[in-house]
Amino acid sequence: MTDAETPILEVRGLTKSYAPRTTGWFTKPAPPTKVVDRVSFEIGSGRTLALVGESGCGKTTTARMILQLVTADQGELLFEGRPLDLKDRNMARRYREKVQAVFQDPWSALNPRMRVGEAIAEPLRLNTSLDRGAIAKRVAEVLRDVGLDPAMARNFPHEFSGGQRQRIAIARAIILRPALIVLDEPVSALDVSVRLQVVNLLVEAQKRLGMSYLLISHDLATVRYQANDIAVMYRGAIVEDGPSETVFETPMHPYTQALFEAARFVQPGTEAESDDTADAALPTKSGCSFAARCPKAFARCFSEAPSLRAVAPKQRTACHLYEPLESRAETVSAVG
Amino acid sequence: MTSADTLLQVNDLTVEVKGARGVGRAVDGVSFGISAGETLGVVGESGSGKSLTCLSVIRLNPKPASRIASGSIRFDGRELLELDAEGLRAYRGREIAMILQDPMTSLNPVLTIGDQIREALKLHRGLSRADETRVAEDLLARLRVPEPHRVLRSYPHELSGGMRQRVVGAIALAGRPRLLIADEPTTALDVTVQAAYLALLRKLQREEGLAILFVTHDLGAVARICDRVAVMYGGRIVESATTATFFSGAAHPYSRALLRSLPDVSKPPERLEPIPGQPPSVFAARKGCLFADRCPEVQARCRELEPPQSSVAEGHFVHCWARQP
Repeated sequence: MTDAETPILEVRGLTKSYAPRTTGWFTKPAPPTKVVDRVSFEIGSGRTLALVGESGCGKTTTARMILQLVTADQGELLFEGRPLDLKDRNMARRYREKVQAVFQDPWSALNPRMRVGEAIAEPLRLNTSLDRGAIAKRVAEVLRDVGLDPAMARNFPHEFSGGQRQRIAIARAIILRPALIVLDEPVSALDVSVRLQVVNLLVEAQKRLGMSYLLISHDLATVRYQANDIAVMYRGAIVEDGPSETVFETPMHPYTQALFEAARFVQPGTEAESDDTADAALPTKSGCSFAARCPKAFARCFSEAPSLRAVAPKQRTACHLYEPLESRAETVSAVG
Repeated sequence: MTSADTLLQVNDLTVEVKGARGVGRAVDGVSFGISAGETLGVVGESGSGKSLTCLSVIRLNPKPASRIASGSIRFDGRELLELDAEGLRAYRGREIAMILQDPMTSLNPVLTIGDQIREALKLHRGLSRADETRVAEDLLARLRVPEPHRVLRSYPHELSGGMRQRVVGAIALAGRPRLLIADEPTTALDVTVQAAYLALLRKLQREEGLAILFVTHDLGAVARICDRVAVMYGGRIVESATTATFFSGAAHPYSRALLRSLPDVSKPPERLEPIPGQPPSVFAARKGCLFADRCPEVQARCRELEPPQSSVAEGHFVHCWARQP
């Protein structure tokens, strides 16, 4: 349908802010907080883009804006190369069919009173005109695809373990053969010994069906295992992005470096002298939002916010360290 | 196993839980010891019995849903299972303190941080009001909380997750405990904050000579902070070793499978092998080795008889038929 060059989804300047609740009649309303600030990226066909960062960095809000669960203040989405216009009913319908989601908690994702077969069949019933027999056949197929016994379609969610429920959620997401699945922490709620089963299932399903994934995760080891591309968010903005292996091998932004260092496996006994106050610093009002925590910050970091710019062929970072002073005029903040 | 400097010695602890499907053994004959100044990591997945084991140490296991059926818990030579409610008060918070996973549920949302630390100080140390504030500030400073004076007047919701967990740490240390039980203390924190918190715990332990019982499912955290590891599966300890030995030469097939199935963030991706199957239910039949159905080295007797403990090396024990000498 789309050639390999056109990204499945392009996100341009997505922004969302929330106004704090005012406390009294005479208090001036505080300025709204930007939780996602001009976020731009693209997801290639059949590829996995991971959005990583700590809690509150805006990664889930970004995902929810893509899923149309949260309305963006600004910015636009391009789906299969065309600007997404939800007033165009055909397009809206196609988007809802082709973009699916798997959420973190497999306990709250399934209706406890619905047999899992019905839950998996629901997207087909709503979006296609297949008859009952054909739907039942598809349900059995996808159950097999996710490693479950088709006979289990008659069971209720409480009869399944967490890992099995997540398989059911995945079955429901892939039954419409989507072009993109938004995976919001898909394995975080699962037991360690079951996590990798589900990760491998996602990887295999992607290979077979050619879907793209937007993977939201704070588990960097799984991200490295699964993602083709990575975007690191900090306080609402992307501070670094690029091909996953490039970024993992040569992280440029001091925040990315700190994040990877903290997630690194430390051999027992080889005490890493980590800074025990890393989270104590409060953000500065102007300049780079990471400046107060940054070991390499200098004067300019506190006065001027850096913009995202290329530092290697496909890698971009938002940091003054890599910004030659004289070429500042060339700085581009949008997707190149 | 018991040595002179053993602070906590748990022997053959069995805890039963009641459920819709009858009575299950969530903790099944667990034994371990911790010396002063030592950190023991209890590793396992949900349902392995690790949290219930730790709660049972200070008899905070949920009642009437669970019941300590048998065993012995000796703290500094004193049998805790024989104490009545009044006797336990002398240990809870004073000799043995706890840090739980979610700091927001440990703290009272309508009291200031200062109120909550002072409450612990009053209970355990009987200080005067003026001293309380001074000591509270000092405690926060030791947990590397910036501006302790301001934080004392803050409410929990005004602090970040990492800061809240530091406050919980300050409350735990208020009674000058000798044993700290930390149940997944970093799981709810962000990865950069986790690393900082673990470094801090390690430092405090050195300064105070604390013993720490560290419960977690995160092997990365174990490598950073623990001296020894005990791996739990299905309510039993299946292997225990020093942390260094565990990471270089784990013996139990479950431990090995766990280590093999962990993606490493500092290496390019390679094919990883997941552990097939599901962890056992607490109410499942307890016959033979509980890992048998998922084990690549399973033998006929594994399904019939519970494997006895055997020693791999000094201080390294495993329960596995395939590792019998």
